[in-house]
Amino acid sequence: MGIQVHKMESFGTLDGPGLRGVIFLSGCHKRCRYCHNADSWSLSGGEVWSAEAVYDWIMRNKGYYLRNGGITFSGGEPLLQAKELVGLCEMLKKEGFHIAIDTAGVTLSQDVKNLLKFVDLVIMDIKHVHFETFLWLTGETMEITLEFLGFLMNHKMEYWIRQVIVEGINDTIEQLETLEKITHSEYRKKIELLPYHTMGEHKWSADSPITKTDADETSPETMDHLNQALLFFSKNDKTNDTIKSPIEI
Amino acid sequence: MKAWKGFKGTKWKEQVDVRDFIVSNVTPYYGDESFLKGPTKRTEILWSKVTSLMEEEQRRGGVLDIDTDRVSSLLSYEPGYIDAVLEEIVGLQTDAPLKRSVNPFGGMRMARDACEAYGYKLSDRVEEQFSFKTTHNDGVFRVYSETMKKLRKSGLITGLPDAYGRGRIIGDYRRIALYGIDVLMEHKSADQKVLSERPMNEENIRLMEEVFRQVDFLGKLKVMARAYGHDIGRPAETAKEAIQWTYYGYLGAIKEQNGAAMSLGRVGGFLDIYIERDLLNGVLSEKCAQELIDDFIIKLRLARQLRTPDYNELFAGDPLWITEAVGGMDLQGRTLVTKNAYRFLNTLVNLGAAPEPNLTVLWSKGLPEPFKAYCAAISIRTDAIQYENDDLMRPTFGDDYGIACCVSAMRIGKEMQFFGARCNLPKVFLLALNGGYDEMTGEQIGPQMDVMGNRTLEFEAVMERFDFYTDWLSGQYVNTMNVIHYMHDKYAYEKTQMALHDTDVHRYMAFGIAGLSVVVDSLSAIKHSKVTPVRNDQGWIVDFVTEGDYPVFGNDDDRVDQIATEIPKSFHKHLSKYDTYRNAEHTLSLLTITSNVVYGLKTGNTPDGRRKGEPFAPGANPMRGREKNGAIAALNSVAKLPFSDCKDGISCTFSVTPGTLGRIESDRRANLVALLEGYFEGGAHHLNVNVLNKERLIDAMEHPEKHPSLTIRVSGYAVDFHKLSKDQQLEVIGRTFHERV
Repeated sequence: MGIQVHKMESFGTLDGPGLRGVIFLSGCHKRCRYCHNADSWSLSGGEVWSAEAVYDWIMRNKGYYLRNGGITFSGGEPLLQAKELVGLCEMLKKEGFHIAIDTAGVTLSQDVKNLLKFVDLVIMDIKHVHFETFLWLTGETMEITLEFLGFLMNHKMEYWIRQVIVEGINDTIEQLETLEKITHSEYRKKIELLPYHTMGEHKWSADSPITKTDADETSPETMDHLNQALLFFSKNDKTNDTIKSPIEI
Repeated sequence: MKAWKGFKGTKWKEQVDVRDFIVSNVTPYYGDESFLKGPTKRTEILWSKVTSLMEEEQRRGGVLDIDTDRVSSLLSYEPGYIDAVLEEIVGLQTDAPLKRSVNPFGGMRMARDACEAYGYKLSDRVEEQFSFKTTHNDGVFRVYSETMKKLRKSGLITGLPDAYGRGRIIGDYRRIALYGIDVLMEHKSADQKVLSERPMNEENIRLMEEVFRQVDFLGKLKVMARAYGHDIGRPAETAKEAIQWTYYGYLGAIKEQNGAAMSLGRVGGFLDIYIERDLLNGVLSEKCAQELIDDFIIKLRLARQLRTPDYNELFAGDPLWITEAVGGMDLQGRTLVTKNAYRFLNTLVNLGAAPEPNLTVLWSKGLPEPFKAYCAAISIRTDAIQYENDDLMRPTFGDDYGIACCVSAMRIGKEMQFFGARCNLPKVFLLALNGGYDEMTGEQIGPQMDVMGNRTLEFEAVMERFDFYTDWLSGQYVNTMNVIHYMHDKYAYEKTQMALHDTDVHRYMAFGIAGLSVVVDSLSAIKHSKVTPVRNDQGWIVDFVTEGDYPVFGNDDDRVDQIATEIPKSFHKHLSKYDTYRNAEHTLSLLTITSNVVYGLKTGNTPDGRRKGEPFAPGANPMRGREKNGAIAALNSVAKLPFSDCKDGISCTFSVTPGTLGRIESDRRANLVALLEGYFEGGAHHLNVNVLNKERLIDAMEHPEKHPSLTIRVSGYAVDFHKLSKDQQLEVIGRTFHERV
């Protein structure tokens, strides 16, 4: 049984701290209307790699990742292959790699719990803060996401919060303030807002089960505005150093 | 003695040993850049005068003025100034800034053509003067064999220093500051005495005459400095004098020689010792220290040689390779990073980005962390510096080596090299398949054999054939180099620079390969897929049909990377079989400068799908667009190339968009440091780093006025983007920019 890999990125600087190897896994149950990786939805759509092959690939680049970076498993939704990742992450931990998982927090199975033992950072994408819109936007309910977030807090695991900002969907100050509040804990090290871009449009197939958003790319002005608000929310919060500097894109 | 007051150590006092002086007195600096000072008002005024002259130079087609009446040497010109009142450090090549002199010792035609290219005419006086002189170029062509001429004309070996100064020699200019000319002359006289006791064979007689000429030019150097009001017979007593004395040495060298690459060496750490002493004694402030360094750098940015348009095609952008090595570690594992390392890099901020001097960071895992971060910040900001692996070079070259030109390490004052440009390896490969015939002209150049295979090419047979021709070419290449350097020593000997070397020097003979990745991918195609030659009516192979997939260089794939490591190894082995002039040690580089464009023009279709006339990749780079597995895989492939067989350097140029390096500036710095660390830990030798967007280059091509100081690293050096030809600009833009979408 191998790992379904969508693609490998050897020079990752955007998915976790430092310079990282990023392994994008195939398969995601969510059908987000702004998805920019629609070609990674299918669980059988990738290339099958053995855990050893992934490990060898990482080890070839080891010198680049050990200094300030590490390895990030992204997707797709990496937790769908949690079982396959446990052994690999255990080996990587032995080599001293910092391991991050970039997830929407879709399951808390025993496999996921086993996997999290070897994970240093969870980058959690909270798609939307309103239950109904969350369901409309992603095709799945929000409960498990919140449960997952609670699990991280209870287990004192470091996490980042990430959200893709789509104009007209989740770009209000009120929504951002809710996001800040519900994700708050001393283990949250960062909130990252990413602008929606349309570069992934071509990856959508014509017979997609849902309709894609027709939103425009999020403007730099909107991003600026929200990042300023974020700074304001956190200015009295001593626990989060990292969100005090505005985020440049 | 006032000059040495407060300096520690003994060995350097008894003999000429600058390295010992440095390790005995250097103050390593572990802090960050916060101590640095901006430009003073004086520096700003002086620099603005220089920039307007440079703009005028550009407007006049690249040359401001030429003195066609006088031949350049140490004493041909009266002192020149930008502004005698404002200048802290003085000395120009001619009597006015940016006025170029002629230097016909390399060859008359070059001097004549260069004048004409810019609308001038070499004076009758110089013409007449040189009608009685043998130039280096005359000498070479008296001896060149028919085959050598063909190799040169066809472009199998190109860029040879047979019509211009060979360069790549670094005088130890620091010796003037530390000892003064008088003491250096005394040492040379003592050497003469020793030599005079040796058997008077050809070797010894030649050396004795050379030392005579060295001493003669040390005397001239003193006279040159005296005209500016300085007595460099004695050692320097202050930081300002140390900079000035050192600069006089360099100035003398570039007045005497128009060598291709005239590197400065490694003066920063040396000069820092003088600055530290003056700071301690309260006679200098940090602001003034930076001002002196800024002034020194302004002088270096004014250095010019007169070149022909042909020459500019090979070495674009009017470079001099005033390479200065920054940083590194000593043999005891202590860093040689001083505050001056920061001050030198800070000139790129105070005076703006510029290609010269060619600041080269000697990277080591042991460098202080703040210095690594500062280098990364300067790279991101200016694209003007390059990196070389000190941990890789130090075991061979010690801890007081400099970099000549782009990547060639040598112990300063103790080693020199005979520069040998490079051979066009894809063309050698095509010559092999065609049984000794030039694929472009059909002319027979190499030993005659059958044209290879009517059907699919077989890897083993091709390798055997290629090996045979590589061996043949190696012999020819060594012999050609022997002729060139015999004649250069005879007719254009570097008196000033060699006077600032030990009398007994170690010599390298530096050969080179261009187009490695083209040959490697071609061989991989033959090995892993099906390659069928296409012949023309005369029966020459002029093209190839390649069917099927094959691994290509630049993807961290050992199936092809192994071929890439074998080729330089076997080439070096072949070269080493042939005797060199003055028993020089054979070395090899994987470096192209910008000649990858011209080399490509002279080379037919290759089995890797590269079309006739298309540029090669620069240096040791993978071919553009073929690195499918991302930046790190590409760098891993380059890191595998064997430095032990390529001790003259392995050049790699790397361009990445700012957004790919990270979202915010501090991330970008940290990630660039991680990248350099990973690359050099993997055993790689050199990296040019550009952090920019392709769109910016395209805009600069269309609207040069909007990007006046756009500097970009090309291959072992940096250029003003607007000084590149259109072809070269397009080639640079066409290179791989690592980015994530």
